[in-house]
Parts: sequence; structure tokens; C-alpha cells
Amino acid sequence: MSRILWKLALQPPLDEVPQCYRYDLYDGDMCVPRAAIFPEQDDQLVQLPDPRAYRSLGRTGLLLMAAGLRSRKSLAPLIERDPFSVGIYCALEHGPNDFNSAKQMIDTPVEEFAATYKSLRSPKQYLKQLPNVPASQLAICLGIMGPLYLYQHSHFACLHALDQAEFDLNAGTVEAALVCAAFSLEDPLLSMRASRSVPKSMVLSEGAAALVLTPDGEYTCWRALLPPYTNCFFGIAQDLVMLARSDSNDSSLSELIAGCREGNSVSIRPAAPSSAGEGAYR
Amino acid sequence: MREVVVTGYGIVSPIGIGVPEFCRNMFAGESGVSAIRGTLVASNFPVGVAARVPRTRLGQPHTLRNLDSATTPASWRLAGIATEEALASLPAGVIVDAIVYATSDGVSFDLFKDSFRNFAADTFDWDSTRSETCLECIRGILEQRGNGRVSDEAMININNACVSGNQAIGIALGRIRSGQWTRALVGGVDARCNDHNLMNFHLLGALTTAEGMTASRPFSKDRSGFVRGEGAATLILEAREAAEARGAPLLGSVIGYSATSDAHRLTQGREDARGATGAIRLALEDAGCTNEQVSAISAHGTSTLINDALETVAIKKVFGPLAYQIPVISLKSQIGHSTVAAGAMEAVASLLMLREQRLAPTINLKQPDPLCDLDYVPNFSRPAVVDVVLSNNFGFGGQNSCVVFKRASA
Repeated sequence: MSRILWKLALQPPLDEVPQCYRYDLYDGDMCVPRAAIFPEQDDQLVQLPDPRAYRSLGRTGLLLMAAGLRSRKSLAPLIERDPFSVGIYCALEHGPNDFNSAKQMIDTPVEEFAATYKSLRSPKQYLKQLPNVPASQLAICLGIMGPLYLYQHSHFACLHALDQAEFDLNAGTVEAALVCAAFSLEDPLLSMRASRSVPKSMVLSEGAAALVLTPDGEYTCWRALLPPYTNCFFGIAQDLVMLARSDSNDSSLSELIAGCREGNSVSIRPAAPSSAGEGAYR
Repeated sequence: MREVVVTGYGIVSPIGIGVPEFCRNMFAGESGVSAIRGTLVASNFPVGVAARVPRTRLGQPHTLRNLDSATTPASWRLAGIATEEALASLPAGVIVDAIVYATSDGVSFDLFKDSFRNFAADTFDWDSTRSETCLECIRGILEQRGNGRVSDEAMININNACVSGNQAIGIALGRIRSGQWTRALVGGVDARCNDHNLMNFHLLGALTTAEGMTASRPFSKDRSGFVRGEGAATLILEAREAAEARGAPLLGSVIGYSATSDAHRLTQGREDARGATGAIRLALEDAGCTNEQVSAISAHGTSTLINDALETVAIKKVFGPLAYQIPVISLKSQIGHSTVAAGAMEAVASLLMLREQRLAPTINLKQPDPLCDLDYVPNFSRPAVVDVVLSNNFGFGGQNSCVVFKRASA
């Protein structure tokens, strides 16, 4: 089984009444009826070591960095000893397109396409769209040289990331796995799809999570340990945010662990108390 | 640990639809690069060439015959045809446990334009924003053929730029070796040879603006960037004992895999090639291979100034003086760079070199570069004893992944 060495879930304050989140780009009334977003602007979400990195990251990528970079202390000793001994296992969808330029170019004549595209879009825009770039930036910032995987299944990406991390830990490919995921409302199409996929009573929330796993014996069946849905949905990052949010007092996870212990000899140790303070995001 | 063999493959590429045609044209040194101005893009477009799969020859996958080919996503058609070819050797009733596929589907520029047009009328297809739809298409093919229904959670779609194809193979290799799975469908598809994707790479300075069929020139001194390509390849990976029990064709073994990161820069590899050398060493170690056992290397070989030089450095660092005796080929000289599909397509090329005992050529290599001074099998294929092939992929973002293939032994 893996041991959760460190974990962190970032989510907006949920004590406020969920707001309707509108996208002005569309002529029709496109909105997520119940949404929770971080109050911070993009550049306030995380302090990046190299300011140039902001150019290649959208809001979701910045949220991933905000969660992942906080793992530095727990990973540093391993990375210093052998940077190849740590891997990144990430669940993330595509980054944001340049919505305004896309709208402006709907009816651009083909002869004017290249010139218009060049004039409207930053050369760095494409980097924001590539789904592996935030995880790559995380590897760059933390100095991680082990494997990096990027999973995209809209429902099971977090499970795929956890399973591969578990596999690599058990195989001895890595000594620690940084498993991470993020979701934001920056992309209207992804947000609307996510919103339509859950009951209307649920709040669609931005969120990010990161867990550091280390090997600790037998195989962990992550599928059986994923907490159930609540009234909040974090898109592709759902399972990891819920997992990272759980603690030893969380009855649902405790029950799951207890059940697995009895049936499958699976257990998880909660995050060390010393890291508990990092769970609060302000 | 179980041995993992390849028991089926299929490919759709700019130089051939189906393995027989691809094989023939690859060894003949054909180029899939063609002019695109006036057809795919306007006459004033800054990029003049791409390696496209000719749509007029593509047809529709048999399994998708009820869908309108004009509206079926190109990735489904490419991946579907490659998958149907791979499955030709898999009888009904033989179950596939998982699909691991590299795709680039999901939200795109075109999809946004589509959403602006269709949102108000409520005709926008929200499902098209999910990146796993192509895997669902592949699952449908398996179901229709009687190869079982792969569960939702065993459909693993990855998108890690240029290393995605190799990683799809590596993920399945591990699970089959360990006994978690018996059989998996792996591969990659990229069907994004379109104006906006070309502009994205052009604005980043990655594409060549050279003209003509010779624009992709890996390891040649006059190389100036990559040619955008597209295609799909699907492989069946299977535990050897299961393959033998059903009398399946053994097309080769997958014996080693690795994945590393540069942790350096997004768009440029490390000058010391540490991440790349780490990946090559780890893959050979995983394969239990000595340097001397490597017969050939299928290079990442993109035709960009920096990548080709750094890959050469990495090969020399790992193999030392032996590097000069190991043939290094670049399939991208013929089919351009199909990013997330590249690793899977190069896997098929590697397996064909093992089968045919012949090295594919690196075409358009006319000007030797002092920084690239290995044997790149320039311009013409040649016969060789090929027992083990190392296939490299080094990707955008600083990821590296290598796979080692071995000739199937009786």
C-alpha cells in the first residue's frame, strides 16, 4: 500500500452562497448556475520562481502549480539525492484557448487567416493550451526528472494517475510520486460540459489537489478508496480533491479504509500533522 | 515477470494506409510531405508543406460505416482504420482488457468557432469537448468484433506531447508484465494538420518554412524545423503465453521502457542531455540489454536544429565509441512529426525493421552536419541484422521516453 506522505486540497471558500458564473463571450445566456471560484486573479494564485512561466500557464495550470509547489519541502530531500527518483502523475484537461481571437476569427476569409491569427494571438498562447505544460512547469520548478504522465479522461483521469503512481512505486521506478490535478472555470466549454454532467443542485467549483505518495508495502486499490461525491464538483480534479480533502476524521474515508483493511489489507496513513496547516488556502 | 509480445498492428500514415503499403514505401524512402497551399491553406500561408494522410484515399472504418464521413472526427477515422487493421489477427471471443491511447482530442480552436455558431441554437455537441471520445470509438470497434467491452476506467487516454505514443506502450507493458492485464490495445492518433494548428507551431518557431517534399531533413545541416504530420497507429500488446496459447502471430517483443523529464525548459532540451541519456539508459536497463545488443535506433529525429544535435549527444554519451556503429534512423524524414501519434507510428516502423531485417532510411540527408556525425542510414534503406531496436521520443515540455523492441523468437 502507498503512504500519503503529504497532501493538499485547494478550494474556494464555500461558506458563501454559490454564484451564477456567466460567460459574456456568447450571445446566448451561457452560465454555470451554481459556481464557486477563487477570489484571486490569475497572477495572485501562486508565486512562481520564474515570472516568465506565467506566460505559458492558464488559470488551471496556475492552480496546479499552487497546489504542487507546496510539496517542495516533502520532496526536496529525495530530489536532491536523485532527481530521477520522483515522478509526476497529473490529471488535467486542455488549457484555455484564446476565446476572444477565436470569436473574432469565425468568419475570417481564408486568405486573411494567417495574418489575422498572427496579429491577434500571442506566440505563447499555444503553450497555455497544451495540457502537459503545467505539469512540465511543475517538474522544472521542483527539479523533478522522473517520469511525467498526463491523463485526460474526463471522469477517470485522477484514478489513472493514482494507479500509475501506485504501479511505479511498487515497481521501484520511483521512490515518491507527486499526484496532482486541477480544474478551473476559465474554459467555458469545459465548465459547461462539467456543469451539465452533474445534478443542478451541485456546485461546480474550481479546485486543485496534490498528494505525495511513497511506497509502503502491498498494492493499494485506489478505486475502492475514492471518497463519494458531495454537493461540490471539481471537474476532472474531483477524485483527487476529495481524497486530499479527507482526513483521518472523515467518516466516509475512514469507513472505506476500515472496509478495505478487513477485506483487502489496504490502508492509508493520513497526512502528517506537521503538514496540516498547509491545507488552508488564502 | 511475463514477456510481452506484439500480436497485431495497424497504421494510417502519409506514406501508406495499412501496414503493407506503409512498409513498402518506408523502405523505398518515399516522402509523405506535400504542398498544402491552395488546398489545405491559402496561397499566402507562411507554411508551405505538411505530411497529411490523403483524405480521398482514407475511406471510413468499416465499423463506422453508418456515420457520415464528412462529419466523423478525423481522429476517429484514422484511429479506427488503424485499429481495425490491428485487430485482424484477433478472433472474436478473445478479450481485450484495456485501451491505452494517445490522443489530442478535446477543446480546440475549431471547436470554439463551432460553439459560437451553435450555442444559441442549442445544437452544440458538448461531448465533443471530451478527450476520450476517440477511445470510446475504439471500444465500439472491439465490441462489434466480439472482443469484449473494455470498462470505462480501463480506457486510459494520455496526452503528453511527443512522448505520448511511447508512454501508451510503456503503461501497457508494465501492466501486462505484472499480470494485471493479459492483453491491451495501445497506440496514438493525431489528425491536426489544419491551419490553426500549423499557425500555433509556426508562431513558436518550430516548423520549417522550407518548401517541397524534401523539407523534413533530420540530421542534415540544412534542416530548419519540423514538418507537421498526422497519422495513427494501433498495436495489440499481449502476454506471450496467452499469445502462444491462441496461436497468434508474434510480431516482436516489447522488452524495455522508460520515462524521464528534463526539468529544464519547456521548448528546449538540456544541453547536457541528462534527461535523454537517463531515458535511454533506463530503457536498456529495463530491457536487460547491453549497449552491444542494440542493432538500431529509431530516433526522435524531428529535423529541428537543436533536437537532432542533442539527440546525437545523448546517443554518444550512452553508447560511447559504439555509437558510430549503431544505425540511427528518423521516420520523421518521411512522414513528418505527428506529435502524440509519433511514438506509436515509430513502433510499427521499428517492428517492421525487425521483421524485414532491413533498416529504413533517413531521407533528405544531403548535407552532413559536424554536430550530427553518426550513421543515420542516409537516403537509402539497407539490409542488416536487426535484433533489438531502441525507439526514442523526446517531447515538448521536456519529457523523454524510450521503448526497446526485440525480434520475436520462436
